[in-house]
Amino acid sequence: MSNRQLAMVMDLNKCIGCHTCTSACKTQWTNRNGREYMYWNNVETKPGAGYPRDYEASGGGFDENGQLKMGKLPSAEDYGEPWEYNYEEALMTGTDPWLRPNVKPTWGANWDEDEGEGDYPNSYHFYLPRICNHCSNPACLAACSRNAIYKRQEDGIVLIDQERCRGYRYCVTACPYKKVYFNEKVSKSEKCIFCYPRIEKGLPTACAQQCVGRIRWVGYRDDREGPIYTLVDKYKVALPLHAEWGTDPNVFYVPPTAPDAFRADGSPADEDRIPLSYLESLFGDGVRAALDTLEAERSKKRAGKGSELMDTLIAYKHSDMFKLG
Amino acid sequence: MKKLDRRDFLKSSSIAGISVLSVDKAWSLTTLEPIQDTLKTDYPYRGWEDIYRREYEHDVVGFSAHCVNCHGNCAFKILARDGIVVREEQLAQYPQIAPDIPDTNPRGCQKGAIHSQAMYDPDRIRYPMKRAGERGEGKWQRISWDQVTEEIADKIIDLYEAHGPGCLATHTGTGTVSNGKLAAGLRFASLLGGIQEDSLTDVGDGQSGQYLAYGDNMQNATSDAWFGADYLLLSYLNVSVTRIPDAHYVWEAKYNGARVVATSPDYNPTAIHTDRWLNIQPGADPFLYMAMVHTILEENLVDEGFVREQTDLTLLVRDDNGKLLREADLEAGGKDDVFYLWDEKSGRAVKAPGSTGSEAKTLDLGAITPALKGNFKVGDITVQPAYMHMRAEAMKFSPEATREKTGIHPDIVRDEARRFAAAKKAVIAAGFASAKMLNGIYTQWAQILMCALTGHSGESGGYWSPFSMWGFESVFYLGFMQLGKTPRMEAGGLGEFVHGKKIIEARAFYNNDKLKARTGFDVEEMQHMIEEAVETGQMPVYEGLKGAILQGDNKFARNKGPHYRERMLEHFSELFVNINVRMDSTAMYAAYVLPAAGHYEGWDFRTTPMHRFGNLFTAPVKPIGEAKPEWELYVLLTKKIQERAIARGITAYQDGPVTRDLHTIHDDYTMGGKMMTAQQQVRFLVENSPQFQGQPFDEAVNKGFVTIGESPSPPSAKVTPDKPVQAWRQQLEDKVPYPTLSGRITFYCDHDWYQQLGSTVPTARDNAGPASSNYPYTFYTPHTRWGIHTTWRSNKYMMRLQRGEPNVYISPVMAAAKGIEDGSQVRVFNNLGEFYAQAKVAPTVRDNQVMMEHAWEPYQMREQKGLNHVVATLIQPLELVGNWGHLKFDMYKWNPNQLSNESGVDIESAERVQEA
Repeated sequence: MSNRQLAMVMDLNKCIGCHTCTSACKTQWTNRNGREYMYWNNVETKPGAGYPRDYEASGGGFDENGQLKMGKLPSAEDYGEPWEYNYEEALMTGTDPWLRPNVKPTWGANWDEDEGEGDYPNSYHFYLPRICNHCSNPACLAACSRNAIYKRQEDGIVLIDQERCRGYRYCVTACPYKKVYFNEKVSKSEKCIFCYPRIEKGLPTACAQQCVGRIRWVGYRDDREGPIYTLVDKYKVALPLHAEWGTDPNVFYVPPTAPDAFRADGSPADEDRIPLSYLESLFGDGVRAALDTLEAERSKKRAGKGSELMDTLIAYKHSDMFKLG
Repeated sequence: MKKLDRRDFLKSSSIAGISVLSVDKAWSLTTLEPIQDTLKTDYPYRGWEDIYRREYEHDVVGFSAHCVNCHGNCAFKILARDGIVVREEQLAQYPQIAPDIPDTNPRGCQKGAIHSQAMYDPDRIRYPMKRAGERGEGKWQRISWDQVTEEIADKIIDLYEAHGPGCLATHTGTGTVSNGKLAAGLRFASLLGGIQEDSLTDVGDGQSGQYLAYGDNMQNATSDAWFGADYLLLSYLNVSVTRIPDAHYVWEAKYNGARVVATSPDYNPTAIHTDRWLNIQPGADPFLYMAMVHTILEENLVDEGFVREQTDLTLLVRDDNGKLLREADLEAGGKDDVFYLWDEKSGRAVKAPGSTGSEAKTLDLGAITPALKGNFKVGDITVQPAYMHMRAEAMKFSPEATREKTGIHPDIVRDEARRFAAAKKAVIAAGFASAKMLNGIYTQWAQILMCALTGHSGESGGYWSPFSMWGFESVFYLGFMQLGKTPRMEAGGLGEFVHGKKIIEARAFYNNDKLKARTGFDVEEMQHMIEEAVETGQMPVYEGLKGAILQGDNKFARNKGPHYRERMLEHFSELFVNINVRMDSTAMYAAYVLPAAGHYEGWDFRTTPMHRFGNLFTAPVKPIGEAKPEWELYVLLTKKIQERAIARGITAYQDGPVTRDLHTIHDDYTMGGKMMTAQQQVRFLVENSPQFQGQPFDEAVNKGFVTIGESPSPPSAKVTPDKPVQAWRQQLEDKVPYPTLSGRITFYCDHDWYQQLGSTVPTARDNAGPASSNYPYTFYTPHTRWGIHTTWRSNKYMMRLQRGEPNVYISPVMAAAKGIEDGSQVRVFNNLGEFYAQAKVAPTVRDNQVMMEHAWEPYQMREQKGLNHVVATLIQPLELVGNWGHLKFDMYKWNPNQLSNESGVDIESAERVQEA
């Protein structure tokens, strides 16, 4: 644990899967210098294989006894090739017959977008944006044989010392979220840095500031007046992803609701479209209580009464979503 | 990027072969300072952190939005290093208008957020270019501005000498709808008398049912008005995909207690967040809304006060011929636009105030209580209020009777209709896709009837569609009014249909018997009505095209059928100029391509229907290569036209009541040299918009935007600083008549064709679709989240977040039946044509749907066969009427749409087709 800890809450009921966060992060950090294939921030459709492919089955994290587990290294294809296009040849010199990628696309960072599971009309899916969880017990840090990964004591941001790193990639395999990436060009591992150069200027991360769905709150865990405390600790509607992996993440998710399923005759089935067990497999035992709280507070609004929780989630002022002081 | 080497990974994995490591770091390889605990203590070597801090350094060099056809209009700040744009970020500085309404920050989307990368892509047009190979071959010769403008000027003069004005399309399309770019193109077209098609109906965005009912499709609320609703029904509006900057208002309304319902055949990204998804059969929408109307009437959920005052349902209709009772029927020399009500109090027919012919310019009924029901006699003429006709028609569409069509359970229909009626503020928000259906006019008319019957209008909700013309007064002033002349305004979707001879594909594709059974007309009857509408001038279409100067119009990507492009190239045989930022599928075929400045490179100004802010584009960086903002480009072109006209002894061409003065065209365009730069143009546009008066231009430039204050425009909106804009408040609060024939919301149209098609009142009709053809599957091409139409569609950053190449969605059931694997190549075909794409198998789509997100550039597809190769299209005859009250040709308002989703296809695996 660091002295203070920054955290983020993402509301999956407001996430529209637009990837403005991904694009913001891409131009801020990963469109250059060997990072082209990386998405420090990605948005994946769940259920789905995610990014990198099947990361949830790739191992890493800690066992029940707190022992670090090493996992598998994803392949280049699991991440997706950053394919290029023949613009010049197809459009400007007439030397290629049409515009196409330079490699045959077989997988990518958002390959299973808008697919999900189930049978029409009762299929289900939702969007899960992911950044580094800046864990309180980071597996990457534990795995680094160079001791090149550390937590900043002032804000809990987990960083890989780019001078000290030797590119052994223990961190890549140990992170169960597969949010550490190996930069082949410089032979070092890199990851989401929670935009510390912005944080240090009092600005939220690019992904949060530019989130047009207004789903991301940023603040300190110990700030009892801040939105993180309200959502995570007070109302307990924001839950970590795969807490069972033992890393103690500092990114929290408001679990998604969905319209009711249909019976065979087309009448409403009055049952959850997204199986509760599936949501619990991602966000743990607190899902039911979180969904119940959301519904109860929404009912208050419907009845014309006030709700601190709903007002927080509505976010009347974009700038109020970030409390970095 | 080089491929990551799998063997390298395996090697390092074996180093990490111990599957469980101790958290204790006893074996650390530290050779510098001993590092004890990087988790809980300060790390001693943090100097390296400057690496990323240095990467964050940039200059903010100005503001911009993105002028494309999305209506997002989102202020961005532009970040540069050494004069090169490195990224952009939403400005996020719009003020909150009231504490109980969420602010509209940080408007934007992923496309705008990567434009800094796209603007430097190799498909960018940097210099004037002349075709060097065959048309479409992609071979170009760079030439100078001087040479290109001289060649074009001479060809324009040649055309005018040979054919006179009227042979040249000078069209500004939907790709450049910012106020600056649009005004630049319109002014050029006005001076030349060139043909400007209605770009709204060109792309199938004309909300015809809305226009039919209200007399205006441009009166709509801002998106923040959704937030105050307690019932939101999204129809053909995939808000999470197509209204990315505004979608939050819907999901925040839900937290605010609103019920959110959406219709769509597929379980789309909007449906996933709703309270209830109505999984409607493709094209069955009018039946659903008529069934809701049925419930509202059956259960007497009607707001009679609203109906009596605001609608024409009180007007008396003759029993003998189904026509509205007119003053001309009763009085010698009487008007045909004065109508009658039955006053229950006095027991007699009285003239309805507020119609176009009425001297009383008010909706106020005074002491009259108009009857909704009853059979009456006026002189010898027996009559009924239109309400009776409306009701009788609606009674045909019970939730049970429509269940098979819609696939929606009657319990659900009734439940939603009741909730809609009971809501304090209920909104039906309709996307543009509604207008792209043959029966979209029926869908919208029935939806507006639902709103009117339940009194949802203005502050209490009502119908919403995504368009208005905020701040366009100065555009039109600069474009037409200041000149006293206009372009040749042409019907949009109809012009495309006629010029592109789409009747050939309609005849080839549709089975006339099936079509007539579903829609009430067959292809030949439709063609007859098209010819009549054109020949009588109800809908202007200009034959004899010889050339085109196109700006912001990727028509070869958008238009339907496999042969449209060849047919249009025949029309453009003598001159084809394309003004563009990038090599799109239309520029590819031009004889000359002129480089336009991109969003971050030229001054511009943009307003939008979605919010009250006008954004400034402050030209943060210089244009790339020799690109120029449109205004400056036309300044240069008109200069050359004027020079060449004078040199060739050309003066004015008489053109009807006006002259086309090629010898003074530059002086006229630039107001005698006073408006030479895009910055001067933008200053003029801002300072001459009534909404923005009193807001100093220089201050706006420093801030990045201006705010619409209290002003009368749009006329019905009554804009106040602290409330969302609502449509039709003047009608409701001040009793100002609607801009319709009757002055009221129209639900009775007695035009002969409406009678002939059984459509005098809102009703339901099938669309055409595959059931009117010999092909089994709906081909549905909704808007994509990954482009604004073709803009950014081929950008690599967007493509990497998709599947790298065009794809179609099919269901697992269809995939299994056809032996198609996810990720494999498929051939989609019908008797018109074919295209190839990658299959994406998803249980979100129906078994009878082949869904392909729209607007792939044809050149992104195998053999450059675009998705429209398999698309046949029709014209909705009701939209052809141009001689009935407000149903007259009106630019950007009333003329027939180009329809997108009326085709049918089959599909097969194409894995055996050899890769070229």
